[in-house]
Amino acid sequence: MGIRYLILPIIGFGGGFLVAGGVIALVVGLGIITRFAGITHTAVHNRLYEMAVLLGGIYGTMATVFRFPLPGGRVGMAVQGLTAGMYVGAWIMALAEVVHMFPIFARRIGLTKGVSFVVLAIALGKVTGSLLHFYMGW
Amino acid sequence: MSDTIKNEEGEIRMARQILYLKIDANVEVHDEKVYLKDIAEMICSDQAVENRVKTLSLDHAVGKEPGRYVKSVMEIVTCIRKEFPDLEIHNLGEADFILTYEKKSQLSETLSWAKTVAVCILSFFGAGFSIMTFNNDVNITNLFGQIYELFTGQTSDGFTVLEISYSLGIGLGIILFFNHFAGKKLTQDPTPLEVQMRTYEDDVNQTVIEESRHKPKKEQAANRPFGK
Repeated sequence: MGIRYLILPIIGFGGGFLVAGGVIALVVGLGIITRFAGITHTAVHNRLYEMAVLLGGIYGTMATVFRFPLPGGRVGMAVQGLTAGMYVGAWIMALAEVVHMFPIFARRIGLTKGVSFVVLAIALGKVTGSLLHFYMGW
Repeated sequence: MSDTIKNEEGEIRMARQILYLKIDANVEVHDEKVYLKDIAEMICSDQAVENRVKTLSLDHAVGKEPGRYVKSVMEIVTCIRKEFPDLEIHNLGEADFILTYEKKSQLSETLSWAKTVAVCILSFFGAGFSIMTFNNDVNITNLFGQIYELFTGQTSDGFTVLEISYSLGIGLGIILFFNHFAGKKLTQDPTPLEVQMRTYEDDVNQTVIEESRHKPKKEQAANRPFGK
């Protein structure tokens, strides 16, 4: 019986350790935070951003594993939704970038005009698709 | 060759003219007959020599059919040497470069935009579909239900402020990530998309040059476009 309580924390700690490593590797690899820092010209505060990622990880674990009630009501929820969406949006585009989707397509069909409209079309498509998905309850 | 220099023994000899040569990694030509001025930038201390070198034509630079031809700067040097054996040539550009032979066919403005519109439509519906598959894949409906309960203590009906703000946030995130708002750039830098396009083009050039090097000399038929 006692041996179980000895092994369980090892499993828990090991799991958390590796999942954290995987998540951070993905975040760094996709360069979402570096991109946001670059856009806002605030790369000097990267320590702060690391801290934010750390706290965010703890916040997510608290919410999903321990089901802590979260303060903030509807406003807090709107902030959570908006930031989560922006993050996922950047994530999607970062993934598309990794596989060189845009340059390959643009070269294949010889796209020369208005590439920025393509990005806009993707953004609108994502918004419409997501709203439809939730509204219809799929 | 006008310049003369006296060396230590007092002999008078000709100073060698120096020609500086610079060729880009990828040069586009529209004609089968290729002149040096079409593919290279050249500077020579003697203007007359410079002008004559510029009008030299490179024999069999490209084949009959349009395509990519990998060329070495040595061919250019050989060509110049034939006419000006005494010229000292300094290459400041690429050692190997790609000569892209393309028939001059101006795509009409309308067709070009039509393509863009088609890609926009494709991207719109593709993006819409893929976000639905993503949301389903990670079971976001369920997760949002939980978050809603944690924030408000009530059961979610599945379409709340959380879902709406999340959906709008996705669009905002994509636009921010690409650093542009409908063509109007937020900062002076080239957009990541432009950087990526450039990087990809460079990779393609590099691959084409490297590929042609791997082939044995015999098969390296000079006038065959790459990949044929």
